[in-house]
Amino acid sequence: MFKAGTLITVISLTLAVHTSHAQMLPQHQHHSYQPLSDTGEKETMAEVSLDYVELRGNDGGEIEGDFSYGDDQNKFVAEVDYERGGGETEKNELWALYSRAISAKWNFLLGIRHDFQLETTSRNWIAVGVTGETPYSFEMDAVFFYGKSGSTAFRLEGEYELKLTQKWILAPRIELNFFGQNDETQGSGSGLSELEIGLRLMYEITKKFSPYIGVHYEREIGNAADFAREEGEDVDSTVWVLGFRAWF
Amino acid sequence: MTESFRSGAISRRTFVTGVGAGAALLGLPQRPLSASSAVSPAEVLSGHQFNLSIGYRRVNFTGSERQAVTVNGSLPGPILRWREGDTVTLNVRNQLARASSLHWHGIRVPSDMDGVPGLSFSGIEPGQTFRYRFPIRQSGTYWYHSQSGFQEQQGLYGAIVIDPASPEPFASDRDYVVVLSDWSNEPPQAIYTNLKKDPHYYNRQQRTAADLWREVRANGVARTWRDRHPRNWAQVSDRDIAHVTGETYTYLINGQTPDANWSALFKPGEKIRLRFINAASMTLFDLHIPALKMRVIAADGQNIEPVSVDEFRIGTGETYDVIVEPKGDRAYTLFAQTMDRSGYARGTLTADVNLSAQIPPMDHRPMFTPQDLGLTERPTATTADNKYKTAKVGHSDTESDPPTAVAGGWYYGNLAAAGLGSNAPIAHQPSEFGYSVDSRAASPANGLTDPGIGMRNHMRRYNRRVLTYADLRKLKPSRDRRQPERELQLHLTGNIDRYMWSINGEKPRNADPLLLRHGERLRITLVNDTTFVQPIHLHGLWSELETGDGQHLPNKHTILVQAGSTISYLVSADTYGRWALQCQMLYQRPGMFREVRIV
Repeated sequence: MFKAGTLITVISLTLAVHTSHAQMLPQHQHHSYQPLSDTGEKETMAEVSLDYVELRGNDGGEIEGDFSYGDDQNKFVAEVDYERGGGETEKNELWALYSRAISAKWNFLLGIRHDFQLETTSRNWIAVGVTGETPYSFEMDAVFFYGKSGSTAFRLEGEYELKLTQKWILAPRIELNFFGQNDETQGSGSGLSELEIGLRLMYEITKKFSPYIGVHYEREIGNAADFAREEGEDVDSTVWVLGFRAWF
Repeated sequence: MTESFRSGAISRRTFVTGVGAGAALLGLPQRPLSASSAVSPAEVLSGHQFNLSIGYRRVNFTGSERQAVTVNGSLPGPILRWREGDTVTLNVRNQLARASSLHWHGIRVPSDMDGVPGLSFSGIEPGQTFRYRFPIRQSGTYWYHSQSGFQEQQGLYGAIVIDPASPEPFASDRDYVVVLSDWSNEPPQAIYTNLKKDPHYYNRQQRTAADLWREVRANGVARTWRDRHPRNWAQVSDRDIAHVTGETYTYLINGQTPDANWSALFKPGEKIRLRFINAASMTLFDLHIPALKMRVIAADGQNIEPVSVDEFRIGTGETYDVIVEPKGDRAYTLFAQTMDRSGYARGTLTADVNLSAQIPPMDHRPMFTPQDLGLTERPTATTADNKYKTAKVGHSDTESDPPTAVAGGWYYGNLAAAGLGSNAPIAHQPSEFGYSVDSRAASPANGLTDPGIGMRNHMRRYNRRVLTYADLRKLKPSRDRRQPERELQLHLTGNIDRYMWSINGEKPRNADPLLLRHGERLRITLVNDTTFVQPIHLHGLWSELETGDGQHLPNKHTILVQAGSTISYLVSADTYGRWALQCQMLYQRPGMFREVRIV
């Protein structure tokens, strides 16, 4: 599976490089003067964005962020999603994605997700999805995963930023995790397995740095809830969070 | 030979650059330059031959030192004073570490003298000198600026004043150049990168929950929902009036901050000519002088039939000449607030060097209306097919058949008469339907009579008469009175979230040049599909704005296309070569740029 994932990454990266290279070639070779390269536009741009870096009340925390590099249409994205709660690592994911602009507000994503597991064996998923903004400005990620021996999963994330003032922002967030099968070792169940809802109050010290406080609620659902009960774990939890968002 | 212009040498008509020069000439005690005074006032260079040196210079506008890029060490650069009929030679030496260029904005030059790297020449390499030489065939107020990278933002601009060969039709006793510009302590590449990553980076006046609450209390939930729906659905931030704002900019008049207060002297009863030039990179200014009427006598350097107004909006790249007649031993404030009301440039007209006037409050902050989103009340006409949404443009009263469309936005036959504007249906090109375009005006209004967002009801609100393009009428009859043979419809497009800008959805490097036949007369119709006003500058040729009377079309070089609106002008393709058609907003120019080739 890992090989398949790597192959896809290689293909998508090659695709990205080729497309951007093609765009950089001047179209009119017969120009007697240098091409219009000096109008100030940079072909490519790199960005690090840390969406959530936070401590959570249940002896846990989350780091979710990405590095992207590319031009207007094609980007390489490396994403980290680490989540810990109640003394247990809930997410430990490293993504490598090719992102391609497909419409004014939406990007198509293709790549792999690698889940580091300390207790059991690590897993790889092929990830295919979209990220963008819906009417009424909800930010949304929807990614489908295909993993080992035909296992499937789907993640839907949404966030909204409500401006209370020019600097205070209230940001509700929701994440839904679906699986195509039961997986008792991972504690995930077929169908809707896990629901996370967060509400964060952010203060933009600068546009690039906003500390926040908030509350995070998560709940296991369906079979996943049954697995949790069998393990003697809580089905849901509500915790305070304290963190920051930054980009540069 | 370059020589300093001595205004004392001219008997009555003085031409000065402000209190610094003026006071010295009049023998008045010179004011100490305040801490925020960055550089000495621009000197006036006149004659036939000019030696200009582009170099770095430390400046201090806000309390911290920064590096500017200047001509002959002043910001703005020296005022170049030419005479119609002369041939001027300009030796431009580049002392920067990277390539540079100077473009003579609005001057009709041969295309290899136009100063656009990649089109006119290869630019001026570090340490090199480029010799510009061209005949002057026009008169009025113009300006020059770098056409390389973002050097314009760093101070590489200055005024051009051309004295007419024939007598000046409008008498004045004094003559001042007023260069409006925007300065940032941030390097321009950082501003561009910030906009790329967060287009709302410099916007600190977005609507908030408090505004929503006020609206709901006033209008109820249902009406508020209905009012906001088009913007919310289109994901448009309704107070996104300017991309780069007073958050980072300090606005300058002749290189002076509002605190430094550039001042110009008058004697009561004198007629004062003010030559306004908007040399800003990203700022449109709304200018008024409280308690003083302005008689607008020239637009983009070219004389018009005088119009008396209280206020005008000047787009980046545009120039307006006005005559004012201040009365009494008092002072008047030149107040140039930015379109989004995030800041202002300020200067003073005063009878006494120690007097200054009150600074007026800024006007209300504008908000997008459906018109700015390209949604006018006018009913949409037929829908041709899935890809082509069409709507009739309302310039023409004639009910004849519309012109015939051919590929690339060209129209032939049944064109409206010169002066009336376009009667062609609005058609979005297939290239507009991609990730690079986030909005297409469904039913664009005619932008001719629109004073622009935030200026639409100033008579009712503030009792100020605002200039519109419909007021502009060329003083002398148009030279070329032919009817347009064909029409080119170009769409100004963009995607604010990706901060990408384009024409017809195409980046310049992916687009073919627009080919014009030498000698032809054509109409260009610009359709602004974006939600931002776009100042569009056609190099090398006049843009004869169709303001109604085909015999008196004003010659312009830069035309404001209101958001979600359309406007038309005629062009006589009388100069061979490769020209730029570009957006004058600096950080949008990389994409909203197209080569025009006259063959």
